[in-house]
Amino acid sequence: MNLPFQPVVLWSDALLFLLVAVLIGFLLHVRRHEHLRAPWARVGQSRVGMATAVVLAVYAAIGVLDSLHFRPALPAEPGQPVQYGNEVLSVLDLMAKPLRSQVEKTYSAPFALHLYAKENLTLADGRQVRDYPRLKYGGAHLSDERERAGDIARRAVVGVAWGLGLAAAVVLVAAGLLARRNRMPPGDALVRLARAPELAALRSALLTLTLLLVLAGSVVQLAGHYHILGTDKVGQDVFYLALKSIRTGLLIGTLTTLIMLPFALFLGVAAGYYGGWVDDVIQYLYTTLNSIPGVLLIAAAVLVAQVYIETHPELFDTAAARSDLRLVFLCAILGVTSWTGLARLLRGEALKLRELEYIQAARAFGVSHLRILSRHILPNVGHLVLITVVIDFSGLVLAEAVLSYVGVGVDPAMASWGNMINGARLELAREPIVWWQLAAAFLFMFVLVLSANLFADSVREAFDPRAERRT
Amino acid sequence: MTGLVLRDLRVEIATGGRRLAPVDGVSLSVAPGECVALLGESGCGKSLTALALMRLLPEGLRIADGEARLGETDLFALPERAMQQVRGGRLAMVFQEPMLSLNPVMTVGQQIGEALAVHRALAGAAAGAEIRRLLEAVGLSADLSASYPFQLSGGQRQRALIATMLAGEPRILIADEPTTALDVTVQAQILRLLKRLQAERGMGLLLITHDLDVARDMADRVAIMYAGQIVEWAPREALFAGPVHPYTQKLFSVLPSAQRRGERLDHIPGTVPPLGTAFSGCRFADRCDQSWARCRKEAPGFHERAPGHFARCHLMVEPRPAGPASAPAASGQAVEAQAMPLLRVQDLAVHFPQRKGLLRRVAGWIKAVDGVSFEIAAGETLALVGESGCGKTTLARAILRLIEPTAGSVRLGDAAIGELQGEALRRKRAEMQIVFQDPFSSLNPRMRVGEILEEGMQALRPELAKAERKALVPVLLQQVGLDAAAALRYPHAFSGGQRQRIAIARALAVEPRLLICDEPTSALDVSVQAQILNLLQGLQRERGLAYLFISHNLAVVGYLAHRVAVMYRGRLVETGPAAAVMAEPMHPYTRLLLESAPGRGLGVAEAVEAGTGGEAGCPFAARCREVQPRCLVAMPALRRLNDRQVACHLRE
Repeated sequence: MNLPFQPVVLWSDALLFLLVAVLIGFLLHVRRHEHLRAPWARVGQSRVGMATAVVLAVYAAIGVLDSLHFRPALPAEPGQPVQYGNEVLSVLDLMAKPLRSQVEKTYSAPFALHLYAKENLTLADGRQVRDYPRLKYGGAHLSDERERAGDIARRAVVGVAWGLGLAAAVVLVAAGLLARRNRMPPGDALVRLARAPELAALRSALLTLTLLLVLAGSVVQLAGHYHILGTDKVGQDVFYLALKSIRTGLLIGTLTTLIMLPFALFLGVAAGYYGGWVDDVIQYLYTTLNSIPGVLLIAAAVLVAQVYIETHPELFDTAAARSDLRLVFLCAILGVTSWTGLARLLRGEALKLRELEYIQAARAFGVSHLRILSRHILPNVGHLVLITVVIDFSGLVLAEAVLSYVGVGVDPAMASWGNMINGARLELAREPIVWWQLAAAFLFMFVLVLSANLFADSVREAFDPRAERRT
Repeated sequence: MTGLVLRDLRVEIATGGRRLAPVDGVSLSVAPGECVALLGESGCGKSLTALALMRLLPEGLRIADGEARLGETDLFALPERAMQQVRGGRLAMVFQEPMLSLNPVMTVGQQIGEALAVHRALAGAAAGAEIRRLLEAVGLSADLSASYPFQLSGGQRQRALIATMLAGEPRILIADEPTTALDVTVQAQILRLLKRLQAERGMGLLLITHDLDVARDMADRVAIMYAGQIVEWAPREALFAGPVHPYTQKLFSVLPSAQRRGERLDHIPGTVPPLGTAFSGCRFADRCDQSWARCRKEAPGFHERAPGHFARCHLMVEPRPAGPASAPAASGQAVEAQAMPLLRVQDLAVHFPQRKGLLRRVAGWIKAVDGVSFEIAAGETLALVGESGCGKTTLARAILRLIEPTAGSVRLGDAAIGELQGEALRRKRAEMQIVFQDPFSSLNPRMRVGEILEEGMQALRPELAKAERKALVPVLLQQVGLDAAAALRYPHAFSGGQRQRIAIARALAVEPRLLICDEPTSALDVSVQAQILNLLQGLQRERGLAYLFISHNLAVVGYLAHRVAVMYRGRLVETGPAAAVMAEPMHPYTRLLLESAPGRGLGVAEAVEAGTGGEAGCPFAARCREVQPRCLVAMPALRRLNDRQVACHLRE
């Protein structure tokens, strides 16, 4: 085997792929069932829902690209077996290679040409001066520093043009598909796409996509030549870190749910359906768990994991695997502490459902308890689970930031918004202020959480049984 | 005239760019001191008419056209602030569900006081006196003014709500199905109360109901509504003497009663047209067996047949052209029961523990079912009758062992159900099945009809291969009068009556010998009820099924049942052949039930609504009009008298 790379599947990758598989399975399941499809069709008709779905999809795509890990082959001597590097890279790293490799010495402001700290410089004539040195990479292609504004503007315009071109292509493809589905000339389809009131949600989605493409075009044009969001203390590109943090945020938001769901579903529904001592035991369990301060429990669990990881270095062949395990562990402990809310909700619902007559009818047929749980109760609490999961997502992303800030979150070496904020904390007192690290983390997190919240709103509205009756 | 006059009301709902009119051109008037019944099946727009009058239409609906005058006031032209003064003042409304209409955290007195303060500016001692006067006017003790709604019984709550509504001294009271949620005995009391208040106060009463018998007892004039229009509008005597609109005639002919035993009930083909149907002619034409070409082309006018008697039908002005006469309803034979008992229930008891205190010690027992014995033969229908809370449903569930009985035995055929365990019990379950009251909660909304029907077979007839099961589904659907294509659809696509058919098909799938029907028609409209009753009777004839038919509707019981068992507080008080019990009740409780049934003129003296007897005596003693000293000390046993049984000291 002489692959130029060795694929690496970290624990979190495996769980993420599992989640993606579950999602695809769920989608196929929904497509086949009319009663499940109807509310999702309502989400599809909501303008906010579709626009935020596009934003979320972009985040998800970046997260998935960042989860395809591998170890590149080292330049090998002929005749020797191929050796693979110790560094685990992802497809995103490959695509953003300039961002990753162009490391400065320390802080530099967005689009700056000079470092943010003075150094002793030796001039060409041998004199020593103390000044801000030129950046190694940021704007290195400029022969004259005064060209900077013009160069940025030129590149930005090219990027915008690229973005608009791509967006136009997408719109044309959409119109083409519309024309084929409705058997109408493409011109009419384009007019319909622009005017028809029933396609308002699609228009919102396309508009959002256009905005994102324009933004992406400019970024692609600029990011290779400037540090568009500056650099951090050790000179890493902040924009690159913010991109890498997306995966961490998404994983915390989704994997926690994946770990929590079985607990919440099984325990909540079982407590409500069986009642009696089963209910008592489960209630005591979650009441007890709820009485322990969450942060304390998480801190204790993470520290235990930390000690375990440090005392068993032989289990991890790369640093990435080590910090990854800590991330998975954090998800797990967040999951263990956060299932109680959903479980309580499901218990109440199951209490109500088990008295319903179709459950009684199933019991009169002698249908087994397990079957009643899986065929009668679970499908009828599905909407509650879905709404809770979508709403919880943004809370978990924020929780990661808070926990990393406190120091019990993800590995300090791992890119995450919480770590970025933590790193920026001390520099806020500096004069002049280092603001870009905090701003970048805030911007990326804010867009994600806002989109998730708005999307959750439209999901909740679509699944709200009372909304159906409103016209 | 100072009453209420409504002209050409049109209520619109805008959906998907279309304007639908659930109420389309309704005119009626209520004079002071008059009771007008607005009668129709569910979905015909009668409640929307009432809400439009109160200007309380739900969001999305609006009054598109029409005029409503209350005395000199034009209700639809009033600004909202002025309307607030009218609402609950000169125009008041009583809703169906008293628990939802009373605020649970305010006492009854506070709620009446609130209305008094708003509409009559009364406060302090004057208000207190008025609250007491109002409570007494609706037949409640003045002490109840300090009670919260949850402390009152259903009838008391409805009375309290009426008192609240009377606080504004309304000229017109709208009552939207005020007694539908109540037992017959309580219903009779509330109706009598409304009648009395209306006479005493010279108040106009607009009574919205689906029950012809209630209208017969209460109304001076009756308006029959169908698909958003009034189809017949007549004085009560004229209407009940001779309804002229084909729809009204059908409503009369689908009603079951003891006199029509064994007959196949008439039915109205098809279903109520869904909202948004475009009508080109008469709205009832598709379901009418007297329709002809003109009915489908031209909407009929509202013709006056006799003074004050209007009907929206071409037949009023033109005789029906000769054509094939519609087939008369086939009359079936009543099923004769066989002698061998299929189900034998002996001394069955279900007691629920009442726990108290920190350690949840058992402080007492609620005896939901207390020593009940009866038998049902194959092919026989035994009706179980009683007020809500008397233990009928608990008894049914205990027979099926959905609840474990405390004592007693149930034998089905040759096996004692109580002793069976595991696999044997499962197999026995196939022989007895249940059909529930509410067709909306008895089908899992997330399963297709086919899956629903297969579930029971899968559990109870494992010998059937998957293909055999699938093949049985269309057969079952056809037996209950549904299309085979229904198997692929979800329950929400069906109407209440169709859902009840699905529930019956689900029970039939496992080929039971006994079917327990727990109020299977009480949530359905009368025309649909007739279809279900016909279906049940047909199935009994074909398959020799035995029914335990739980109901509070005595007309249905008289029509369907071979024998009747009357239950009161967990015990049987009277059993016997249906015809005999209905004609000549022996127990005072049975008599009370029969006399309270609507359609008999509300002529009976007020009965005590509730109350418990002493621990030792007859549980009915507190409500009994013929109570004697020994009733309070000794519990009467169920005694056999020829082919009947009765538990009453008066019959010893």
